[in-house]
Amino acid sequence: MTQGIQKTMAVSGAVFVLLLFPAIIMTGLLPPISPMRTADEIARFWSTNTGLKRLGLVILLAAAGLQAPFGALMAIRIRQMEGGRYSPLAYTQLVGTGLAVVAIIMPTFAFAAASYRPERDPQITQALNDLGWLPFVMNWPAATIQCLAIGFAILGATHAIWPRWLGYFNLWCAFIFAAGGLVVLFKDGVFAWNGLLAFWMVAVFFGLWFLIMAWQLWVSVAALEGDSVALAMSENEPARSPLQR
Amino acid sequence: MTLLRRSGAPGTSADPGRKVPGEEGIWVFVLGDMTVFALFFATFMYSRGKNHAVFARDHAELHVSLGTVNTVLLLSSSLLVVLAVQRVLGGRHAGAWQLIAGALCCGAGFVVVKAVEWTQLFAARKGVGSGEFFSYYFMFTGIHLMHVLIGLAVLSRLIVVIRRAEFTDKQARLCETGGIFWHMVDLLWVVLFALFYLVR
Repeated sequence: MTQGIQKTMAVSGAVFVLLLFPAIIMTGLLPPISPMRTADEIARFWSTNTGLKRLGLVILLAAAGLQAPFGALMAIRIRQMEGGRYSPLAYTQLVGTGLAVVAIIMPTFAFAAASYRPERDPQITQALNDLGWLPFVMNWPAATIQCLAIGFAILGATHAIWPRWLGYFNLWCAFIFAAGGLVVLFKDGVFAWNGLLAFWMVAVFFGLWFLIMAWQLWVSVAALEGDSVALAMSENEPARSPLQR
Repeated sequence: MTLLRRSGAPGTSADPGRKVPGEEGIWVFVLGDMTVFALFFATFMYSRGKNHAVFARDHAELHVSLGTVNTVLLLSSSLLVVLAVQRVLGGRHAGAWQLIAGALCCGAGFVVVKAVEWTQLFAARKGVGSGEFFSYYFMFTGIHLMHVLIGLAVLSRLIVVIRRAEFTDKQARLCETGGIFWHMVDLLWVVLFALFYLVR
Protein backbone atom coordinates (compact mmCIF):
# COMPACT_ATOMS: atom_id res chain seq x y z
CA MET A 1 0.00 0.00 0.00
CA THR A 2 1.62 3.27 -1.06
CA GLN A 3 1.89 6.26 1.25
CA GLY A 4 -0.25 8.26 -1.14
CA ILE A 5 -3.19 5.87 -0.89
CA GLN A 6 -2.86 5.69 2.89
CA LYS A 7 -2.80 9.45 3.20
CA THR A 8 -5.85 9.72 0.97
CA MET A 9 -7.66 7.23 3.19
CA ALA A 10 -6.67 9.21 6.28
CA VAL A 11 -7.85 12.49 4.77
CA SER A 12 -11.17 10.98 3.67
CA GLY A 13 -12.26 11.02 7.34
CA ALA A 14 -11.69 14.76 7.56
CA VAL A 15 -13.35 15.32 4.17
CA PHE A 16 -16.36 13.36 5.42
CA VAL A 17 -16.88 15.85 8.25
CA LEU A 18 -16.19 18.84 6.01
CA LEU A 19 -18.96 17.63 3.65
CA LEU A 20 -21.30 16.33 6.34
CA PHE A 21 -21.84 19.59 8.20
CA PRO A 22 -22.40 21.84 5.13
CA ALA A 23 -24.71 19.15 3.73
CA ILE A 24 -26.87 19.01 6.85
CA ILE A 25 -26.99 22.81 6.92
CA MET A 26 -28.12 22.85 3.27
CA THR A 27 -30.78 20.25 4.04
CA GLY A 28 -31.99 22.37 6.93
CA LEU A 29 -31.16 19.75 9.55
CA LEU A 30 -29.04 22.19 11.55
CA PRO A 31 -30.47 23.34 13.89
CA PRO A 32 -32.71 20.24 14.08
CA ILE A 33 -36.45 20.72 13.77
CA SER A 34 -38.15 20.19 17.13
CA PRO A 35 -39.96 16.86 17.71
CA MET A 36 -42.79 18.98 19.19
CA ARG A 37 -43.69 20.50 15.80
CA THR A 38 -47.08 19.60 14.31
CA ALA A 39 -47.46 17.57 11.13
CA ASP A 40 -48.41 20.70 9.17
CA GLU A 41 -45.31 22.59 10.30
CA ILE A 42 -43.08 19.66 9.38
CA ALA A 43 -44.77 19.27 5.99
CA ARG A 44 -44.26 22.99 5.34
CA PHE A 45 -40.58 22.66 6.28
CA TRP A 46 -40.02 19.80 3.84
CA SER A 47 -41.92 21.53 1.02
CA THR A 48 -39.92 24.77 1.08
CA ASN A 49 -36.49 25.16 -0.57
CA THR A 50 -36.81 21.63 -1.86
CA GLY A 51 -34.04 22.05 -4.44
CA LEU A 52 -31.42 23.04 -1.88
CA LYS A 53 -32.61 20.40 0.57
CA ARG A 54 -32.40 17.62 -2.02
CA LEU A 55 -28.95 18.75 -3.13
CA GLY A 56 -27.83 18.68 0.51
CA LEU A 57 -29.10 15.10 0.78
CA VAL A 58 -27.20 14.11 -2.36
CA ILE A 59 -23.99 15.47 -0.81
CA LEU A 60 -24.78 13.75 2.49
CA LEU A 61 -25.08 10.42 0.71
CA ALA A 62 -21.79 10.94 -1.10
CA ALA A 63 -20.04 11.94 2.13
CA ALA A 64 -21.25 8.81 3.95
CA GLY A 65 -19.12 6.55 1.78
CA LEU A 66 -15.92 8.37 2.74
CA GLN A 67 -16.07 6.68 6.12
CA ALA A 68 -15.29 3.32 4.50
CA PRO A 69 -11.64 3.91 3.45
CA PHE A 70 -11.04 5.93 6.61
CA GLY A 71 -12.35 3.10 8.79
CA ALA A 72 -10.43 0.49 6.84
CA LEU A 73 -7.13 2.27 7.47
CA MET A 74 -7.97 2.47 11.18
CA ALA A 75 -8.63 -1.28 11.11
CA ILE A 76 -5.16 -1.77 9.59
CA ARG A 77 -3.63 0.28 12.41
CA ILE A 78 -5.51 -1.80 14.97
CA ARG A 79 -4.18 -4.94 13.31
CA GLN A 80 -0.66 -3.59 13.47
CA MET A 81 -1.12 -2.75 17.15
CA GLU A 82 -2.64 -6.15 17.97
CA GLY A 83 0.43 -7.75 16.45
CA GLY A 84 -0.68 -11.36 16.41
CA ARG A 85 -2.04 -13.54 13.66
CA TYR A 86 -5.65 -12.87 14.60
CA SER A 87 -7.11 -9.43 14.90
CA PRO A 88 -10.62 -9.49 16.38
CA LEU A 89 -10.57 -5.79 17.29
CA ALA A 90 -9.73 -4.87 13.70
CA TYR A 91 -12.72 -6.86 12.46
CA THR A 92 -14.91 -5.20 15.09
CA GLN A 93 -13.74 -1.82 13.86
CA LEU A 94 -14.55 -2.75 10.26
CA VAL A 95 -18.07 -3.81 11.20
CA GLY A 96 -18.46 -0.51 13.09
CA THR A 97 -17.39 1.42 10.01
CA GLY A 98 -19.87 -0.45 7.86
CA LEU A 99 -22.61 0.41 10.33
CA ALA A 100 -21.43 4.04 10.38
CA VAL A 101 -21.95 4.30 6.62
CA VAL A 102 -25.45 2.88 7.04
CA ALA A 103 -26.04 5.27 9.97
CA ILE A 104 -25.80 8.19 7.52
CA ILE A 105 -27.43 6.74 4.41
CA MET A 106 -30.48 5.26 6.12
CA PRO A 107 -31.80 8.58 7.51
CA THR A 108 -30.76 10.29 4.26
CA PHE A 109 -33.22 8.13 2.32
CA ALA A 110 -35.99 8.87 4.82
CA PHE A 111 -35.33 12.61 4.54
CA ALA A 112 -35.22 12.28 0.75
CA ALA A 113 -38.63 10.61 0.82
CA ALA A 114 -39.93 13.37 3.12
CA SER A 115 -38.91 16.07 0.63
CA TYR A 116 -39.94 14.07 -2.44
CA ARG A 117 -43.70 14.79 -2.53
CA PRO A 118 -44.57 18.16 -0.98
CA GLU A 119 -48.23 17.72 -1.95
CA ARG A 120 -48.88 14.62 0.14
CA ASP A 121 -50.69 14.23 3.50
CA PRO A 122 -48.66 16.04 6.23
CA GLN A 123 -49.09 13.08 8.60
CA ILE A 124 -47.07 10.89 6.25
CA THR A 125 -44.34 13.51 5.92
CA GLN A 126 -44.17 13.72 9.70
CA ALA A 127 -43.72 9.95 9.91
CA LEU A 128 -40.90 10.12 7.36
CA ASN A 129 -39.34 13.02 9.28
CA ASP A 130 -39.41 10.88 12.45
CA LEU A 131 -38.01 7.96 10.49
CA GLY A 132 -35.10 10.16 9.43
CA TRP A 133 -34.39 11.93 12.71
CA LEU A 134 -34.66 8.99 15.08
CA PRO A 135 -31.96 6.84 13.44
CA PHE A 136 -29.89 9.93 12.63
CA VAL A 137 -29.42 10.83 16.30
CA MET A 138 -30.27 7.60 18.08
CA ASN A 139 -27.92 5.28 16.21
CA TRP A 140 -25.02 5.23 18.64
CA PRO A 141 -23.60 1.68 18.37
CA ALA A 142 -21.90 2.40 15.01
CA ALA A 143 -19.66 5.10 16.47
CA THR A 144 -19.29 3.57 19.92
CA ILE A 145 -18.18 0.18 18.54
CA GLN A 146 -15.40 1.89 16.59
CA CYS A 147 -14.27 3.98 19.55
CA LEU A 148 -14.17 0.97 21.87
CA ALA A 149 -12.25 -1.14 19.34
CA ILE A 150 -9.70 1.62 18.81
CA GLY A 151 -9.50 2.45 22.53
CA PHE A 152 -8.90 -1.12 23.66
CA ALA A 153 -6.46 -1.74 20.81
CA ILE A 154 -4.35 1.26 21.86
CA LEU A 155 -4.42 0.44 25.58
CA GLY A 156 -3.56 -3.21 24.97
CA ALA A 157 -1.17 -2.64 22.07
CA THR A 158 1.76 -4.99 21.60
CA HIS A 159 3.21 -2.51 19.10
CA ALA A 160 2.65 1.06 20.21
CA ILE A 161 1.60 3.06 17.16
CA TRP A 162 -0.66 5.66 18.68
CA PRO A 163 -0.20 7.54 21.98
CA ARG A 164 -2.10 6.13 24.94
CA TRP A 165 -4.06 9.33 25.51
CA LEU A 166 -5.73 8.65 22.15
CA GLY A 167 -6.93 5.36 23.62
CA TYR A 168 -8.51 7.09 26.59
CA PHE A 169 -9.93 9.77 24.30
CA ASN A 170 -11.63 7.07 22.25
CA LEU A 171 -13.09 5.39 25.32
CA TRP A 172 -14.45 8.76 26.40
CA CYS A 173 -15.93 9.42 22.93
CA ALA A 174 -17.55 5.97 23.10
CA PHE A 175 -19.44 7.23 26.14
CA ILE A 176 -20.30 10.63 24.59
CA PHE A 177 -21.65 9.13 21.37
CA ALA A 178 -24.03 6.97 23.38
CA ALA A 179 -25.83 10.11 24.63
CA GLY A 180 -28.16 10.09 21.62
CA GLY A 181 -29.33 6.55 22.30
CA LEU A 182 -32.37 7.51 24.34
CA VAL A 183 -33.96 10.14 22.09
CA VAL A 184 -36.97 7.90 21.51
CA LEU A 185 -37.95 8.54 25.16
CA PHE A 186 -38.10 12.34 24.80
CA LYS A 187 -39.90 14.92 22.69
CA ASP A 188 -38.56 17.92 24.57
CA GLY A 189 -35.56 18.95 26.63
CA VAL A 190 -31.84 18.27 26.51
CA PHE A 191 -32.20 14.56 25.65
CA ALA A 192 -34.61 15.04 22.73
CA TRP A 193 -33.23 14.71 19.19
CA ASN A 194 -32.70 18.47 19.04
CA GLY A 195 -31.44 18.68 22.63
CA LEU A 196 -28.18 20.07 23.96
CA LEU A 197 -26.86 16.74 25.23
CA ALA A 198 -28.33 14.27 22.74
CA PHE A 199 -27.61 16.32 19.62
CA TRP A 200 -25.30 19.30 20.04
CA MET A 201 -22.74 17.76 22.36
CA VAL A 202 -22.57 14.57 20.28
CA ALA A 203 -22.37 16.56 17.01
CA VAL A 204 -19.42 18.62 18.22
CA PHE A 205 -17.40 15.66 19.44
CA PHE A 206 -18.43 13.52 16.46
CA GLY A 207 -16.86 16.09 14.15
CA LEU A 208 -13.85 16.48 16.41
CA TRP A 209 -13.31 12.73 16.61
CA PHE A 210 -13.06 12.41 12.82
CA LEU A 211 -10.62 15.32 12.62
CA ILE A 212 -8.42 13.98 15.44
CA MET A 213 -8.42 10.44 14.07
CA ALA A 214 -7.65 11.71 10.55
CA TRP A 215 -4.73 13.71 11.96
CA GLN A 216 -3.41 10.73 13.92
CA LEU A 217 -3.75 8.46 10.89
CA TRP A 218 -1.91 10.99 8.76
CA VAL A 219 0.92 11.18 11.30
CA SER A 220 1.10 7.39 11.56
CA VAL A 221 1.48 6.98 7.79
CA ALA A 222 4.75 8.88 7.79
CA ALA A 223 5.95 7.37 11.08
CA LEU A 224 5.35 3.79 9.99
CA GLU A 225 7.20 4.07 6.70
CA GLY A 226 10.25 1.84 6.98
CA ASP A 227 9.36 1.14 10.59
CA SER A 228 9.88 -2.25 12.15
CA VAL A 229 6.13 -2.68 12.58
CA ALA A 230 5.59 -2.17 8.88
CA LEU A 231 8.29 -4.74 8.17
CA ALA A 232 6.77 -7.20 10.60
CA MET A 233 3.45 -6.83 8.81
CA SER A 234 4.94 -7.35 5.37
CA GLU A 235 6.48 -10.64 6.49
CA ASN A 236 3.03 -12.15 6.70
CA GLU A 237 2.22 -11.15 3.17
CA PRO A 238 3.00 -13.45 0.25
CA ALA A 239 6.13 -12.58 -1.65
CA ARG A 240 5.53 -10.15 -4.47
CA SER A 241 7.71 -8.63 -7.10
CA PRO A 242 8.84 -5.04 -6.53
CA LEU A 243 6.62 -3.98 -9.41
CA GLN A 244 3.50 -5.18 -7.65
CA ARG A 245 4.26 -3.38 -4.45
CA MET B 1 -1.51 10.97 45.31
CA THR B 2 1.67 12.41 46.76
CA LEU B 3 2.55 8.89 47.80
CA LEU B 4 4.36 8.39 44.54
CA ARG B 5 7.51 9.96 45.73
CA ARG B 6 7.59 8.04 48.96
CA SER B 7 8.57 4.76 47.39
CA GLY B 8 12.13 5.95 46.73
CA ALA B 9 14.75 7.46 48.98
CA PRO B 10 13.27 9.94 51.47
CA GLY B 11 13.39 13.54 50.40
CA THR B 12 14.31 12.88 46.81
CA SER B 13 11.88 12.00 44.10
CA ALA B 14 12.17 8.36 43.08
CA ASP B 15 11.12 9.07 39.53
CA PRO B 16 11.55 12.71 38.62
CA GLY B 17 10.06 12.13 35.17
CA ARG B 18 6.69 11.23 36.62
CA LYS B 19 4.58 14.05 37.99
CA VAL B 20 1.02 13.04 37.20
CA PRO B 21 -0.65 10.32 39.30
CA GLY B 22 -1.56 7.19 37.35
CA GLU B 23 -1.18 7.08 33.64
CA GLU B 24 -1.24 10.47 31.92
CA GLY B 25 -3.86 9.34 29.40
CA ILE B 26 -6.52 8.59 32.03
CA TRP B 27 -6.70 12.31 32.73
CA VAL B 28 -7.93 12.89 29.18
CA PHE B 29 -10.83 10.62 30.09
CA VAL B 30 -11.38 12.00 33.60
CA LEU B 31 -11.27 15.67 32.60
CA GLY B 32 -13.40 15.00 29.52
CA ASP B 33 -15.97 13.15 31.59
CA MET B 34 -16.05 15.83 34.27
CA THR B 35 -16.56 18.49 31.59
CA VAL B 36 -19.58 16.59 30.29
CA PHE B 37 -21.00 16.18 33.77
CA ALA B 38 -20.40 19.88 34.41
CA LEU B 39 -22.50 20.49 31.31
CA PHE B 40 -25.16 18.14 32.76
CA PHE B 41 -25.20 20.06 36.03
CA ALA B 42 -25.40 23.41 34.26
CA THR B 43 -28.36 22.31 32.12
CA PHE B 44 -30.10 20.96 35.22
CA MET B 45 -29.62 24.19 37.16
CA TYR B 46 -30.76 26.21 34.15
CA SER B 47 -33.98 24.19 33.79
CA ARG B 48 -34.50 24.29 37.53
CA GLY B 49 -34.16 28.07 37.53
CA LYS B 50 -36.85 28.34 34.86
CA ASN B 51 -39.27 25.97 36.58
CA HIS B 52 -38.53 26.17 40.25
CA ALA B 53 -41.93 25.15 41.67
CA VAL B 54 -42.18 21.90 39.68
CA PHE B 55 -38.60 20.93 40.53
CA ALA B 56 -39.20 21.58 44.24
CA ARG B 57 -42.38 19.44 44.17
CA ASP B 58 -40.73 16.50 42.40
CA HIS B 59 -37.61 16.82 44.52
CA ALA B 60 -39.74 16.01 47.58
CA GLU B 61 -40.55 12.59 46.09
CA LEU B 62 -36.93 11.41 46.36
CA HIS B 63 -35.76 9.43 49.39
CA VAL B 64 -32.90 11.46 50.87
CA SER B 65 -32.06 8.58 53.22
CA LEU B 66 -31.34 6.19 50.34
CA GLY B 67 -29.24 8.84 48.62
CA THR B 68 -27.30 9.35 51.85
CA VAL B 69 -26.67 5.62 52.23
CA ASN B 70 -25.33 5.55 48.70
CA THR B 71 -23.07 8.52 49.34
CA VAL B 72 -21.64 6.83 52.44
CA LEU B 73 -21.14 3.59 50.48
CA LEU B 74 -19.23 5.30 47.68
CA LEU B 75 -17.14 7.44 50.01
CA SER B 76 -16.19 4.33 52.03
CA SER B 77 -15.30 2.47 48.87
CA SER B 78 -13.12 5.38 47.76
CA LEU B 79 -11.35 5.31 51.11
CA LEU B 80 -10.71 1.57 50.74
CA VAL B 81 -9.31 2.15 47.25
CA VAL B 82 -7.04 4.90 48.60
CA LEU B 83 -5.72 2.51 51.25
CA ALA B 84 -5.23 -0.24 48.70
CA VAL B 85 -3.39 2.03 46.25
CA GLN B 86 -1.26 3.32 49.14
CA ARG B 87 -0.21 -0.26 49.94
CA VAL B 88 0.46 -1.06 46.30
CA LEU B 89 2.61 2.02 45.76
CA GLY B 90 4.44 1.35 49.02
CA GLY B 91 5.42 -2.05 47.68
CA ARG B 92 3.10 -3.98 50.03
CA HIS B 93 0.62 -5.19 47.48
CA ALA B 94 -0.03 -8.54 49.16
CA GLY B 95 -2.92 -7.39 51.36
CA ALA B 96 -4.26 -4.81 48.93
CA TRP B 97 -6.74 -7.04 47.14
CA GLN B 98 -8.92 -7.49 50.22
CA LEU B 99 -9.27 -3.71 50.46
CA ILE B 100 -10.29 -3.51 46.80
CA ALA B 101 -12.71 -6.38 47.37
CA GLY B 102 -14.21 -4.30 50.20
CA ALA B 103 -14.54 -1.35 47.81
CA LEU B 104 -16.15 -3.66 45.28
CA CYS B 105 -18.73 -4.76 47.87
CA CYS B 106 -19.54 -1.12 48.69
CA GLY B 107 -19.92 -0.41 44.98
CA ALA B 108 -22.20 -3.42 44.56
CA GLY B 109 -24.18 -2.13 47.56
CA PHE B 110 -24.59 1.18 45.76
CA VAL B 111 -26.10 -0.63 42.76
CA VAL B 112 -28.50 -2.56 45.00
CA VAL B 113 -29.65 0.59 46.82
CA LYS B 114 -30.11 2.37 43.49
CA ALA B 115 -32.19 -0.55 42.23
CA VAL B 116 -34.37 -0.40 45.36
CA GLU B 117 -34.77 3.35 44.98
CA TRP B 118 -35.71 3.14 41.31
CA THR B 119 -38.14 0.29 41.97
CA GLN B 120 -39.91 2.42 44.57
CA LEU B 121 -40.06 5.38 42.19
CA PHE B 122 -41.38 3.20 39.36
CA ALA B 123 -43.99 1.82 41.78
CA ALA B 124 -45.00 5.42 42.54
CA ARG B 125 -45.49 5.87 38.76
CA LYS B 126 -42.42 8.03 38.37
CA GLY B 127 -40.34 7.42 35.27
CA VAL B 128 -38.20 9.13 32.67
CA GLY B 129 -41.37 10.63 31.21
CA SER B 130 -42.73 12.11 34.48
CA GLY B 131 -41.69 15.69 33.98
CA GLU B 132 -38.43 17.50 33.61
CA PHE B 133 -37.06 16.79 37.08
CA PHE B 134 -37.47 13.05 36.76
CA SER B 135 -36.12 12.89 33.22
CA TYR B 136 -32.97 14.64 34.44
CA TYR B 137 -32.88 12.47 37.55
CA PHE B 138 -33.18 9.15 35.75
CA MET B 139 -30.88 10.13 32.89
CA PHE B 140 -28.07 11.51 35.02
CA THR B 141 -28.18 8.89 37.74
CA GLY B 142 -28.56 6.23 35.03
CA ILE B 143 -25.47 7.47 33.20
CA HIS B 144 -23.67 7.59 36.53
CA LEU B 145 -24.82 4.03 37.27
CA MET B 146 -23.20 2.95 33.99
CA HIS B 147 -19.97 4.48 35.31
CA VAL B 148 -20.36 2.56 38.57
CA LEU B 149 -20.81 -0.71 36.65
CA ILE B 150 -17.73 0.01 34.54
CA GLY B 151 -15.91 0.93 37.77
CA LEU B 152 -16.90 -2.41 39.31
CA ALA B 153 -15.42 -4.17 36.28
CA VAL B 154 -12.23 -2.11 36.71
CA LEU B 155 -12.00 -2.98 40.42
CA SER B 156 -12.53 -6.68 39.67
CA ARG B 157 -9.72 -6.50 37.16
CA LEU B 158 -7.46 -4.85 39.75
CA ILE B 159 -8.12 -7.69 42.18
CA VAL B 160 -7.06 -10.20 39.52
CA VAL B 161 -3.95 -8.16 38.69
CA ILE B 162 -2.89 -7.79 42.34
CA ARG B 163 -3.35 -11.47 43.10
CA ARG B 164 -1.20 -12.53 40.18
CA ALA B 165 2.33 -13.71 40.96
CA GLU B 166 3.97 -11.17 38.70
CA PHE B 167 3.72 -7.65 40.08
CA THR B 168 5.82 -4.85 38.66
CA ASP B 169 5.66 -1.07 38.35
CA LYS B 170 3.36 -1.52 35.38
CA GLN B 171 0.77 -3.30 37.53
CA ALA B 172 1.19 -0.74 40.32
CA ARG B 173 0.49 2.04 37.86
CA LEU B 174 -2.56 0.17 36.58
CA CYS B 175 -3.89 0.05 40.15
CA GLU B 176 -3.35 3.77 40.54
CA THR B 177 -5.06 4.49 37.21
CA GLY B 178 -8.03 2.28 38.14
CA GLY B 179 -8.21 4.06 41.50
CA ILE B 180 -8.39 7.44 39.76
CA PHE B 181 -11.36 6.24 37.72
CA TRP B 182 -13.14 5.03 40.84
CA HIS B 183 -12.54 8.35 42.63
CA MET B 184 -14.04 10.15 39.65
CA VAL B 185 -17.16 7.96 39.87
CA ASP B 186 -17.35 8.84 43.56
CA LEU B 187 -16.84 12.55 42.98
CA LEU B 188 -19.53 12.69 40.30
CA TRP B 189 -21.99 10.99 42.63
CA VAL B 190 -21.28 13.48 45.41
CA VAL B 191 -22.23 16.32 43.05
CA LEU B 192 -25.28 14.43 41.78
CA PHE B 193 -26.34 13.76 45.36
CA ALA B 194 -26.06 17.43 46.27
CA LEU B 195 -27.89 18.47 43.11
CA PHE B 196 -30.85 16.08 43.26
CA TYR B 197 -31.29 15.34 46.95
CA LEU B 198 -30.00 18.33 48.88
CA VAL B 199 -30.51 21.55 46.88
CA ARG B 200 -33.90 22.98 47.74
